[in-house]
Amino acid sequence: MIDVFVGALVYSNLLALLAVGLSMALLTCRVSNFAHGDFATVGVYAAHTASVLLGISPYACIPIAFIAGGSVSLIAFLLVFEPLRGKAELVTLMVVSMAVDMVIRYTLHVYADLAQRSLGVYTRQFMFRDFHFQVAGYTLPGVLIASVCTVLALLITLYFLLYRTSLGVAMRAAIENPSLAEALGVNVKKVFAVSWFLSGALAATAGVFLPFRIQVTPDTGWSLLLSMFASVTVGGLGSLGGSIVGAYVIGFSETLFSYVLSSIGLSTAYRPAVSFAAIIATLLLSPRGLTGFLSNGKRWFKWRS
Amino acid sequence: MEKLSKSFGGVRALDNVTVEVDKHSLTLLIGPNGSGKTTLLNIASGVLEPDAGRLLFRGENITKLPPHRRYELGITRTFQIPRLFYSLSVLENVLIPWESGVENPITILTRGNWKKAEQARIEKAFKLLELLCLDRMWDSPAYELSGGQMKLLELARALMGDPSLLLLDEPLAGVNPSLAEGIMKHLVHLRNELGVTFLMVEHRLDVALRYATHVYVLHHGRVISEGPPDKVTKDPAVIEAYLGG
Amino acid sequence: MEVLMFALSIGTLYSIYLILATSMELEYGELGLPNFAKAAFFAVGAFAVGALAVRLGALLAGIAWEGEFKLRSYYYATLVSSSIARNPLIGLVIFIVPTVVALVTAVALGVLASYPALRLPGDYLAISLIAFSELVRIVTRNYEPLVGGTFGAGVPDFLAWLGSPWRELAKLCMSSSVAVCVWAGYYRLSTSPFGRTLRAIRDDEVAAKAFGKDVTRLRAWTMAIGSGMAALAGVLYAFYMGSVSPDDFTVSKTFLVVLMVVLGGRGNPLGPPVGAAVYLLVDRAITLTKHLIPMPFDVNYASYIVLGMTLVIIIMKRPGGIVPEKPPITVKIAPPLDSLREAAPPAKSRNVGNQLAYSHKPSE
Repeated sequence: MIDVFVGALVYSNLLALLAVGLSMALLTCRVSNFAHGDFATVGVYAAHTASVLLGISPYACIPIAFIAGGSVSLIAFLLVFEPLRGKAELVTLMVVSMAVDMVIRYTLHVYADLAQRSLGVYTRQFMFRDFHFQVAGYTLPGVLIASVCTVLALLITLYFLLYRTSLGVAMRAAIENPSLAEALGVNVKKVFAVSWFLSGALAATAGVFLPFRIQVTPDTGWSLLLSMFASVTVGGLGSLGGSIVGAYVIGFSETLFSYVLSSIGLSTAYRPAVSFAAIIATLLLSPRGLTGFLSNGKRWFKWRS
Repeated sequence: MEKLSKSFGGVRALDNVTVEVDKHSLTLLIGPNGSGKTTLLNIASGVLEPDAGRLLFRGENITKLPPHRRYELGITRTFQIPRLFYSLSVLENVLIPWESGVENPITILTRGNWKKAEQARIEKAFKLLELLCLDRMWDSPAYELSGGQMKLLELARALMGDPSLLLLDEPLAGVNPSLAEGIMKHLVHLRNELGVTFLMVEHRLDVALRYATHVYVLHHGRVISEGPPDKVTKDPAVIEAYLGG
Repeated sequence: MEVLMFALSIGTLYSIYLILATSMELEYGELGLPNFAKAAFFAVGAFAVGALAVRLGALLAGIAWEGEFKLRSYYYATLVSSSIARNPLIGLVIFIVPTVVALVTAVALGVLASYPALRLPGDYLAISLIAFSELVRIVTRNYEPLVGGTFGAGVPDFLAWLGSPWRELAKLCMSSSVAVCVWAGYYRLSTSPFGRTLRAIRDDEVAAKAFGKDVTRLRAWTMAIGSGMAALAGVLYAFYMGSVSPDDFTVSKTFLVVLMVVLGGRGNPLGPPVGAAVYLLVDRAITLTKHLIPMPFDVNYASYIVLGMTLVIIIMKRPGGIVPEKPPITVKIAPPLDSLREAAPPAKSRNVGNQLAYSHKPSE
């Protein structure tokens, strides 16, 4: 049982990082970014490559993954989403992001092939070796403490960035009303570029923790998309705080659901049903998600009101 | 025989408003900005649902009727900010108000008889477009029109469906003065010849008041005055609302 | 001989993609409803064949079934094929019954799926439909009695009574005639008041409602037609492949269809044929040339990268696609129209517009 709880917590932590980034893409460019999962995969491969080349623990490679994921996200923003911002319809933007996903994901496949040859290590179905520690008679994986610390540190930093710095004020203003912010002297493109960098960087950081729990391939990030969208939807479309709460709701219910499935002898492959049901139920019953439900709760941003 | 009464409670935009539109009348709805005129039209056409109150049309309660069923009863509207089908051509925009049932895909696939009706419709559409000086650009997409032309196309599209009650939301805004006069004359002509009833929101009082048969003045979601045009314009409450409000 | 077989195979595949692209065009291009559960509706057709064809064939040929479906379906498919070679009637039945089942199921599902569209904004509708489509795939992948789960299901050759090149030729003729019929039907709808109304709803739903359009009903109609088309493509695909595997119907399949439509041009009836042709050309060109230039990685990945980039570039540089939508698409009566207007007696038109006679001056 403790394993289920640990698994759920680690998974939810990662989902929180991913969902916050996805929300930021939604807020800035109104794109339901299908390439977001790939930023996590970029983090996986950046950390993997760096740890093999430098011979250090993958945990030490988090900064490298952070920069790599952020850069890929930034490039996607500058080349594709910034030129289309405010010009294309929502579904068109989504289709574009699917194309961007295809480019990044299959580039990662090519990279995995090349790296396997030149580095001589497995680049598919691999896992990172983790350390373990003992607490009150339980053996706990290191990724638990590492992911909790990282998530807390990053989210608190993000909060201070958004609410205690002038950049944060500019960012929130640009999200609320880009043309007005532009008129008031905010460089919207620059501000959005920063938020896209952060969005990709958070996802890549989450990516580094993935191989500690599951075997990864270049498609791993992509396969997490449904859960990410479910978190964002449950949390109330485009509310950063909400999407963090949503991530924990989805993370825990998914893990528990697959635990129940396996204990009654069914395949855990039905796990995505949780996310699907959550998306449908939220959109049909309370389209503003949990934040709409608990409107007295802290709303970080409003969107599509 | 035709009565349209409605009352709403609880909405701040409209506070227990009762408006009655007599058959064959050209009822004008005026009032300062934000007085709830457009809200009223939206409720009448079914775009919005009233929080309370009833909507009667020819003695039948249509409060719960969806917009397309109201259209079938003969209620058509134009929009204040043009809501054209922008990627369609001018002619296609006017052709959209077809009789319902034509869009059954099975009939279209199996029979070709819609083409005859289409031909007749196109002839009718061209007459309307000619009347509104839009015929020369029949095949350009609607988004290429100027603001005034969009308003005209809105009107053409609404007239195409042979409505019995036409809800007009500022049809004259942005239309050149001589054409505005002509449009009003045509509306009166339609009223006399075909018995169309009009409920019209308009700010161009100079033109509109001359043709109206009945006027309602809305202010802060309430009817502050009603009656024939000359009576309403002398009502001190109206002058107060327009000048002092 | 090999070249002939290749051409026949490409032609059949093109027909199947054309049907899929046409159905997506109708729903997404014309109505603006992003039916991104396309892979699921495609799968409905293929699964109907996978689940029914071999069982029905065994029943009709009097072959007693032993063992689990997932392990034995390929074996029995071969047996049924050889009975079909002796008795073509069995072939006819195993083609028609699954087709009818597939169409009925897909139309019902399509109508059902058109209802969430009332509540959800475009992109979230698309995400829900994608999720639904994945769920369908996951369930069929894990529920083995239906189409054998990950093993897949064998499909007997309903044309086994024909000789080798003729069989493929017959399949091509059948697929292409179905594709042409589907496209012609779509073309007729698109250039009729029906298509015009769909595009009106896409442009402005509120206004369309105000002009008497029953948007709910029209959506249900469109989804029913589109899903039926996709299921038909699925039936043809299953017989073309000779087997059915749930893993063939991933989101990527949907995405390829979207790609064809966007590439070809949304809202233009020529979009699907052009888009499907371009996709197949790029895809096959990369597959064929991969032997010529040795690469240190799987060249199929390169094909996806190229397609993805093409799509991004098309949307950014030419949003209308290769053949963009032309506004007066329904007015096929346009040429006689102009003459009609000139031929019309001027007195008649002035009759209506006499009050406005002066206002013509500025424009004339």
